Amino acid sequence: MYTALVIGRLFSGLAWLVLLCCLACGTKGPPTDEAATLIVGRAADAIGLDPARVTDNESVEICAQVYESLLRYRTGTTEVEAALAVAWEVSEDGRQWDFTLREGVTFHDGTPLNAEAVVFSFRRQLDENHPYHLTDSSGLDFGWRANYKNIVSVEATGNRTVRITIDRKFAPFAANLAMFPVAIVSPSAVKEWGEEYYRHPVGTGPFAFGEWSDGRIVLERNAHYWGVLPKLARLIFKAIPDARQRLVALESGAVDVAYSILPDEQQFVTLHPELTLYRAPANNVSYVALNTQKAPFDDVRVRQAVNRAINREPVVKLAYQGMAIPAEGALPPTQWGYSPKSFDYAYDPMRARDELEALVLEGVLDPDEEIAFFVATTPRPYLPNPGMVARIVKSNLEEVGLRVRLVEQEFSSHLEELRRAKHHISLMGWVGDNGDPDNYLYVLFDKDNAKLGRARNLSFLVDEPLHTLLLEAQQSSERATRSEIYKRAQSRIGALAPWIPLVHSQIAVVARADVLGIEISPAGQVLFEKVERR
Amino acid sequence: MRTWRFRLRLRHKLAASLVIAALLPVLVAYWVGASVVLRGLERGLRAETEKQLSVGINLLLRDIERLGHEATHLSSRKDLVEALTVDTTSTTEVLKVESQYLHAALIQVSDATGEIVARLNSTGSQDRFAGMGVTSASPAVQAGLTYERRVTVERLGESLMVRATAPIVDAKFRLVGVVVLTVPLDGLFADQLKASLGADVLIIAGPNAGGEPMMSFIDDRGARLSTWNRPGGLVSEISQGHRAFENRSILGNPYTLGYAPIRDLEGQVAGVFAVALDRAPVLEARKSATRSLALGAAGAFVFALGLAGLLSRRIARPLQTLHHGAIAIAQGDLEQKISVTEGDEIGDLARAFSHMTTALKENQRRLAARMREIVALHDAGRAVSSVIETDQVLRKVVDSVARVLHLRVCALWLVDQNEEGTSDPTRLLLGAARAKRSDMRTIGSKDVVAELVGPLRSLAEDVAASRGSLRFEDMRLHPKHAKAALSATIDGSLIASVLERKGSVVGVIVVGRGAQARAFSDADENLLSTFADQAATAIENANLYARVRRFNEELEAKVQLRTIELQAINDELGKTITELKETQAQLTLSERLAGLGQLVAGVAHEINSPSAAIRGTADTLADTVGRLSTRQTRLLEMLGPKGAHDLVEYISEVAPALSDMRRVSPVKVRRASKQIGDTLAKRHVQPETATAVAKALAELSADEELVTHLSPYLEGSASDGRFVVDTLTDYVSVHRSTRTIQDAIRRIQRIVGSLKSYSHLDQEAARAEADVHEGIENTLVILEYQLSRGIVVQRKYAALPSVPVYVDELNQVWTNLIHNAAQALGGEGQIDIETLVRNDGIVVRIIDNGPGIPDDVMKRIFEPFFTTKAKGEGTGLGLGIVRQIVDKHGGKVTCESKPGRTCFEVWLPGRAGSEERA
Repeated sequence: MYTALVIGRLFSGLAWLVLLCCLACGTKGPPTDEAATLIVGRAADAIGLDPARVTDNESVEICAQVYESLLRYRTGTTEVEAALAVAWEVSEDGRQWDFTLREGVTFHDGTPLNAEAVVFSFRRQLDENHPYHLTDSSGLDFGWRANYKNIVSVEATGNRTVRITIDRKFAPFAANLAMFPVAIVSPSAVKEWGEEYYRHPVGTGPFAFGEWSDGRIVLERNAHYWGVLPKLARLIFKAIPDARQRLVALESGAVDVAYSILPDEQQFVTLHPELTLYRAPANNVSYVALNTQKAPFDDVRVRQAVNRAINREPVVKLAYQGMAIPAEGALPPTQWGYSPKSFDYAYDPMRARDELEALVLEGVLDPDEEIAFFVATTPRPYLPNPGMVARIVKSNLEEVGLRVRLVEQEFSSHLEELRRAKHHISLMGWVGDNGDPDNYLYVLFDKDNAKLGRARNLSFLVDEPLHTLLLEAQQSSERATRSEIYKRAQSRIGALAPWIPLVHSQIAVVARADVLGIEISPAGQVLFEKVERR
Repeated sequence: MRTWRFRLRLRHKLAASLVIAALLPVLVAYWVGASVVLRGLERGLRAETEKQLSVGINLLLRDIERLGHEATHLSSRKDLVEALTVDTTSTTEVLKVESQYLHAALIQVSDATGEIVARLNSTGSQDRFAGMGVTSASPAVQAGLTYERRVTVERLGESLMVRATAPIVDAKFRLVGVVVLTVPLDGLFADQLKASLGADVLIIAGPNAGGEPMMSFIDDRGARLSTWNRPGGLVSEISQGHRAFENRSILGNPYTLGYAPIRDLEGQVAGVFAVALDRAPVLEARKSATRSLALGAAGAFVFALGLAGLLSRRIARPLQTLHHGAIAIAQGDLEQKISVTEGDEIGDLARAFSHMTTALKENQRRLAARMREIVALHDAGRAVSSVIETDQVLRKVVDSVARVLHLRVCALWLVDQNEEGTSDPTRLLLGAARAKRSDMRTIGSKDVVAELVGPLRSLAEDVAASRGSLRFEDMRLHPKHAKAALSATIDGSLIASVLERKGSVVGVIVVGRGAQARAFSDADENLLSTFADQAATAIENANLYARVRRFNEELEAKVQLRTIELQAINDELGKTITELKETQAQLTLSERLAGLGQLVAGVAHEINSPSAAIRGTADTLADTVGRLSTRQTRLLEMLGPKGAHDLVEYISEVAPALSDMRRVSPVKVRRASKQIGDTLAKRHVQPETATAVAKALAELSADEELVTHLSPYLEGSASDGRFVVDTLTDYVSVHRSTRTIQDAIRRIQRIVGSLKSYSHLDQEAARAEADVHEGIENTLVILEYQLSRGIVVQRKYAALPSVPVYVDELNQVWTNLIHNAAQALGGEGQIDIETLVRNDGIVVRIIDNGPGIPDDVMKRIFEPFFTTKAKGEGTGLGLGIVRQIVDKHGGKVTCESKPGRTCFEVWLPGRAGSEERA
């Protein structure tokens, strides 16, 4: 009886104790969702989220999280591996590519991934008569179609098997299939949203689209992802166009990661104990495109002369704050097939001036004619401070006797104008997509891509020998042979001087110290599936 | 032993429990509350420090960045560009103008070659920048010459400085010079930060915070504090780029310090930035919080104490009342009233207690009544069972019933039993009766009583016949037996009950009361029925007793008879046992005789051979001696007295030596005879004679000396020569015979000697210290004839002490064991005899490598009369006797056997064993 009483008291005492402890510890709750959310501040908003209809890096970055293609690059390399396809076979003549699809994969909207969805994704951009080959009302088009025009047919040979037939043997095709424009989209979502699909993307990737408003794109972790689940529950991309403001947002914790910090700010970031600066060689190039279809740059001698007029030292040191290396051609040195000094024009303003003066005398060049220099005001990964670069280039050109007028506008209009060949010269850049030299040389210099309105060859260079070389390289499957051909192509391009190659930049990503696992892919993108918050 | 227990009153226990129950949460609340508050305060201060540190670092970096911007700004001034491109000497003037818009710094400008063309100290205070300027070779200038714009923290000895470089480019982006701004991170800088932060600031050069810090602290004499103790334990953490915190006292005030690294552009830790937050308010808050909590806890405790006292009193009081009541009831006071009026569980308990008391009282009353009956019944039962005579039993029953039931009349009839033991229940005989007169005095005369109850017999017979019982309230109204009852003076109620035993009616008991008495109740009837059962039992017991007594008497007579018979048989048995014992003794004796027989046979065998030898030799000797006596005569004739005497003397001399020579093989004889022939030829012995004697001499192993010595006697004819040599041969023969006989006799003597010591016939059979080896050796001699050539005896003797033994008996043990071993070997094999010392005694092992003893035989080998020998070969007592003898020595004999090894082990104690006394 007495024992029971004591035990009873003991228990009630314990209950008190527990209650008090709970009260005392009540302030410590479970970790909030904030820990699993990452906010990325970047210079611009995405333009559209339909992978087949975007080209800008901001859009591509989102598409890379939401969508997947049949193939992909093995992490950290430019080697191609299986993604939505688990296996593929190429026929003897290199024309028939048979893919077997991964089983049990569904789109974020629940639509199952099958051969029909793959065929739909290809056909809607390749077949102009396809009901969902959307019209050009949103300023987006299926510009990437040019890259895939070698596709003859895409057919479902079974529920999980697809056969893609191309017109001829084309070696970079596997690399092309790993690119985002041929990412597989949910047919039901495309049918549901129609024209508005670019604002409502549905893919199979590690993150699913949440919402997009006021320059803020919210992605949620795809809990049904077939691969390794991302550690972040939510990934938010915020457009903060002002570089200074981006840094302030990063310092204050409003964003966790920021891109395109002003070069002068990078020293501040380096000195700051709560921020970490990540640098990586970027797979890109910035250049001045010389419109070969317009006088005076239709004359190769003019193009060669201006190539000698540009001093890259202030560009690298002042505009990139050292976060770049001078470019000697289109390919960055890290790209296989790279040929050094393909543009062999050392900085020599006197010679440039002399040559140009000779051409004036010859009547080729009118020194009073203003050269329209198109420049985008939006910082790009390859061009963080476009204004200063433009001014350095402008003064260098003026130094050698040219009159230059800057045409500065926002990036999408800038691109639009360039594709329509409004410029004499323009400040541009390119980010390698598929890790193949073809992606630089064919895309940027071949006549196939110089079609007005959707051109990527912004110098509108049309050169048959080069075209022959580039096609030859596409049809050879031996890397050594292709490398050799690309060396010749680069030398040919250098001689034709359709560009003034400027620099290959380095990527600078700044993150708060509590963001871990930041890795930058060879394509220059942060691998968000590996990032976590401490 | 009773364990002592501390007795605590309920009220105090209750009060203590309540106090503890209240105290525990109060203490816990105090402890938790205090720690929560204190931790919260510390955490708050730490968070504040951390925040201030972040703000401070940000301010510092903003200042650094600003310097960079100022350098950039300055580098982009057109007048500066102009001064550098047109006239470098005017540069300083330009700087003076421009520096008005800048923060205090050391401004230096170089031209496009890196040559410093202007230097301006914008503060005017020279010593602040002393030794801090750059030259054209400085990294800051060199960087600027490659268009590089940079700002970084540099360490110069014990101090840190911020240095910003900017290239000066003209409108065409041509490099015309470099501007370098330098600001030391000194006390003044710390003061600036303090002004913005509101907290004291320290800046320490070097990654290990090893230098003297630049501090914003000003002591009470207005001087800047410049020395301190470096934060030892935190240095490594800070130098690795982490933040660190500590509490320390500066200028006598408590501070919490937060340290953060200052990095340069390479990411190396160049120095440490620290903020110091005053802890005094926190310590004050801590003190007051602790005090309030302690006061609160004390108040709560006092309140709890009072409440506990009050509550315990209220709860304990009714419990105490109940307690006292319960004790009183337990002590038997059932009149106790428990006055608890509470409506709670204790009230219920008290009421239940009251009910219980009432019920107890009633039960006690009933029990007392019942007790009285049981006592009476018990008394009656005891009285009844204490007698075993039937008459007495009946009387006791009737007396007891009458006394217990307050009767006027009580009569008991028994069923008449005939000779065969069968009974007729209708024939009743009055067993016993008792009656009172109307004045209730007992009627003394048996006859009067018998007459009085006589009329009730028919009633009793009716009851016996019906095998039931009768109870009637008023016998006057009984239809059949009213008259009989009245005549038996029963005018009240009556009960008649049968006495039954094992299903048969033994009798009937009838009881009656007068009209004035109370009629019989159920209880009375039950009581009577119990009496009736008891009476029936008692009656039967009495009957049984009588029968037992009778039977007993008969038995006694029979036993006596049997005892006499048994005595006779016993005597017979005794005789038989004696005979058996004698037979056993005889058998043992005969075994010993058999052993003796073996012994004698052995001895006879041993003696036989030498005897035969003696007999044979004796015959030869007689012939030879006869021949020799005749030879004497011829020698005298041949050699004359002198010659004969010399020859005989010589022969007698050499004969014993020759007789010792071994017989020579024929080959040797042939060779020797040739030599002897040659020798004799040289000695002028005629060839015929020589040939005649040479062989005989060779057979005697004669040497050259002998031949030389003998040659003069051989110069005669061949027959003479031969005669001389034959005489020599005869002499040798006599010596040989004598020796043979001597040997034979020695052998016989040895056997007889062994026999004597073996049997110790000449000694008393007493235990004596003896050498066991000697006994074994003697036995081996005796048994030698049985140990044929095929049997090898190996001895492994240890040095044994003498042990007390019965020598002759022990020799029989060895004889039997060795004999058995030899038998087992069947003429071929090995017998090992081992001795060793063990356990204060000695061990003898007789081991043979024969076929071994089968398991079934093994179990029985020590049994007397067990034998494996064919009938007639042995009595089978051999090993039995071995055991008997060894037992007698207090020793032990065991046997282990497997094919190839059979070992008998005899252990004999060193001191006399227990058998000595037997």
